[in-house]
Amino acid sequence: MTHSKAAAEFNKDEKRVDWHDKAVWFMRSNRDKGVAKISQWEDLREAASQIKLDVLSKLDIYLEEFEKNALANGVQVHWAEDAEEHNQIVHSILQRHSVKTLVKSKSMLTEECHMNPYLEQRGIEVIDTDLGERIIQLAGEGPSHITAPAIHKKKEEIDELFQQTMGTTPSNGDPQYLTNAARVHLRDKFLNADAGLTGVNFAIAESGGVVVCTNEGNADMGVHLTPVHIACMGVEKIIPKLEHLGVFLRLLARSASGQSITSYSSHFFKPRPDQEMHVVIVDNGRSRHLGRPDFRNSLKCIRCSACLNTCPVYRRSGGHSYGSVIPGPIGSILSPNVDLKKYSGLPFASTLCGSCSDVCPVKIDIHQQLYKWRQVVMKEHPDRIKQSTMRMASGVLSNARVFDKLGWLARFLLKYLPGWMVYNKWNTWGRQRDFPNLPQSNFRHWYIKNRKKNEQ
Amino acid sequence: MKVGLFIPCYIDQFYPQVGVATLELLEKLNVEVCYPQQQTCCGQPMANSGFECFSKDSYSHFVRNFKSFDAIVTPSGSCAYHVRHHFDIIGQSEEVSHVRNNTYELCDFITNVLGDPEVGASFPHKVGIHQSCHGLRGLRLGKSSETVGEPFSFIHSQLTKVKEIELVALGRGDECCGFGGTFAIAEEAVSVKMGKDRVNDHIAQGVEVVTGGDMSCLMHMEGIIKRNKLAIRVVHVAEILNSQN
Amino acid sequence: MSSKTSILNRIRENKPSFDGTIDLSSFLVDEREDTLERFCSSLAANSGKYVLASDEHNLNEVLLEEVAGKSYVDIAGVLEVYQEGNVLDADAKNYKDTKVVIFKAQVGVAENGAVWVDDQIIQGLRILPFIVEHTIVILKQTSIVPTMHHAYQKIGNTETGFGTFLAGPSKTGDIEQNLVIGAHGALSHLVVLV
Repeated sequence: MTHSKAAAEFNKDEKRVDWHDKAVWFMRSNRDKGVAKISQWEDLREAASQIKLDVLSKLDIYLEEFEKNALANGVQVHWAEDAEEHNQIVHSILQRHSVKTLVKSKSMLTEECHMNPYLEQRGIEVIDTDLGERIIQLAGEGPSHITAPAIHKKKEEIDELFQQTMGTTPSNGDPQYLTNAARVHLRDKFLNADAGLTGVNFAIAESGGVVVCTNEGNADMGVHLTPVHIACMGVEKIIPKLEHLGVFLRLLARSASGQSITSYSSHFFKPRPDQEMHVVIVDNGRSRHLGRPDFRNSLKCIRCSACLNTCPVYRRSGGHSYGSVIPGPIGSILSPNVDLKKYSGLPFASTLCGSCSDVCPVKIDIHQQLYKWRQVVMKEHPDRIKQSTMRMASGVLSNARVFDKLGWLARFLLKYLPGWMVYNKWNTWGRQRDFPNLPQSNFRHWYIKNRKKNEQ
Repeated sequence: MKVGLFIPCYIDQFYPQVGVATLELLEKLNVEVCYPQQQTCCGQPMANSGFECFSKDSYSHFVRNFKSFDAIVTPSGSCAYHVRHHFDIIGQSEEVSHVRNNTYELCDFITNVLGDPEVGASFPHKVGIHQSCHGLRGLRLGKSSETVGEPFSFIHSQLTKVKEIELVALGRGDECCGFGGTFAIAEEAVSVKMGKDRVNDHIAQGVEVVTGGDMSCLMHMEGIIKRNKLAIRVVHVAEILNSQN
Repeated sequence: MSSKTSILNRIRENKPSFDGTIDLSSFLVDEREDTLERFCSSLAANSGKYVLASDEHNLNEVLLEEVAGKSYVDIAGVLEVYQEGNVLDADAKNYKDTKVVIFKAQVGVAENGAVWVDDQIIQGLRILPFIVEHTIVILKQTSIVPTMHHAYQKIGNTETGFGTFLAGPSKTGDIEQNLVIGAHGALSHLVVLV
């Protein structure tokens, strides 16, 4: 289903749209309060952008430096061309250790690779331990947001879900009770898991370490109790130096929700003496995307979700209406690289308001890229009706006489055609809006009548 | 200084009074202003739809019509933004560069080129400002609420000088109205919802008149206002600045 | 050709150029005097708690009150009274019923109330700050630095195998945005400032 259709469905329940909009706006307004406390905020964004631009220009060098240092620390490093290879690598590590149960912290990359079903089909139980991820896992849904995967779910719905899946007693959506139930349920999983898998917020080239940030502590609970830690990262997660984390850790949580930092920002350099640690470095189209001058800067993304929270369209259409693993503004500029035809509608699911670019901590020119993707989409997969309309429009709009005549005709028809002919189901504008009042004549004729004679 | 007046296509056809107000205002401020009659459109509709290739003729036509002016002024942030930023796909002759670098939105022109003179306007109403996105974040005609820095807004500073006006702060100061050009049709449901929310924000603050620098945004909000028979109206900032007691 | 080679080759073909310079020195300039106050208010904003201990005796009193009736591990070795059987067990799972951990941190960060905890501080028992219900950190006021930039300067090119910035108790907002303290990690976090 296209975003447009899915969003129209979503908007049938206006109260729900208002609720979703307020919930996500809450994150945006907390972000504003948090960033206002940093007077150097705009300088920090610039520094982060510069660091990431440097990374893109030397990506191969930093990746090799990372691998060298990680290996020296006793970490095993794997490289995956694509999603399938990533899944195979993870599976083979788990197989070697006879893993039956895997606990997993939030990783959009593993969503992208559809890792969970791959492992489940091969007899491995995968437990998502981030509360939001666990909720949607139990509900059989995908995440609708990058950092708050279950933001589309009301607490009463979560209550029902926990009753069915965890045997909780009805609590009217009591957040404390539900969180505690999940704590008990997942603690048991942590203590009995055979391996822990995490995403990677940042990988540090100069030390070969990876950083994982959570508020819940679930990544650490999973990894410190198991003999195997697998950390999965996209190639673009590399940053050059440890000191650069000073910039990124100041930007990340504030951009997401206004917090000064998450409760835990864990740096994994070496495995425990009784543990194996693996890092899986994944390409899956990123190196190809690096070759697109207009779009490569989307690889600077640190997955903070600020652009989703500020996007007035995302807030009123919900993450699921995008049909992509990553929704919202950043999803709309990353997904066309994966499948241009499938995601051709996403660059148009925007008014190009530019709010996303203004909140992006690494200064990705998101709204400019949306505009540019539109040109690519219409070149590769043109909407034929739109194409001929626009070709005609081009003729009209570059010829004063034709434009003038057609404008007069449009105003004439709008004024004198019966209402049912103007406001019908083909008139999309007119479904919920009136047309403007129609003036007697246009500006051009007014000018000729009232001013032109003065120019002689 | 010779100023060329650019009147956006939808203002020419549906809101000529905004064009009239802009012209009269500039004349009042002793600007030598002329309206090249062969002008048509800045090319946004095609370009924003993904058909930049079809807007090149509009761009060249625009440059031909306006190259001989020292500055080009338009009562539209989105058109000024489009000229400045998106005319980069035609050959960058001196004329093209000149036109791109000297096209101004109205309040920007009055504040920064004319030296911020008194306009002598009076408008005794409760007014809410709609900060149109292309002007605000595209041309930086004000500080957006997302960025950290000293607040400023050219439209706000022009309106504070209007006698008897009462400017009202909104719940969300610069959220998009949802017009977005062809977005208004292609994503009608979300577009209308965004417009309704903007209008309701103004109503909730007791606004009588919604103003802004872009008639496209106001036209979209007005469509919703009229359909729902709401007790609020839209007036372009040019009309407010041109108003008298 | 291995995946590694093919990925790196493609990156080399496609990578852009960049000739900017990265200079973070301006972020190290922080002349504000209220480091302690900022640390405390940031910690409170993270739902953490703090208390000032006037001297060693007071520190002991505070800690004894906190651990009263609960099983604890005192890695800092501060308490005069040790619980019987409180020997450091290498098996992480054996701490599943431990209620409190006490340790000393060397670096605190004013802008976010975080303290740096590494393998050395927790003696390689990485699970400890997460598996307990209450974390207690002893921190010298003079160890508080203004920002994360300063913190990384202090941590330097650490040789540690693991470290975390611990900034508060565990929490979540995943049940309809309601803030709940105590997700999978600690239910409370206390910094005792000395």
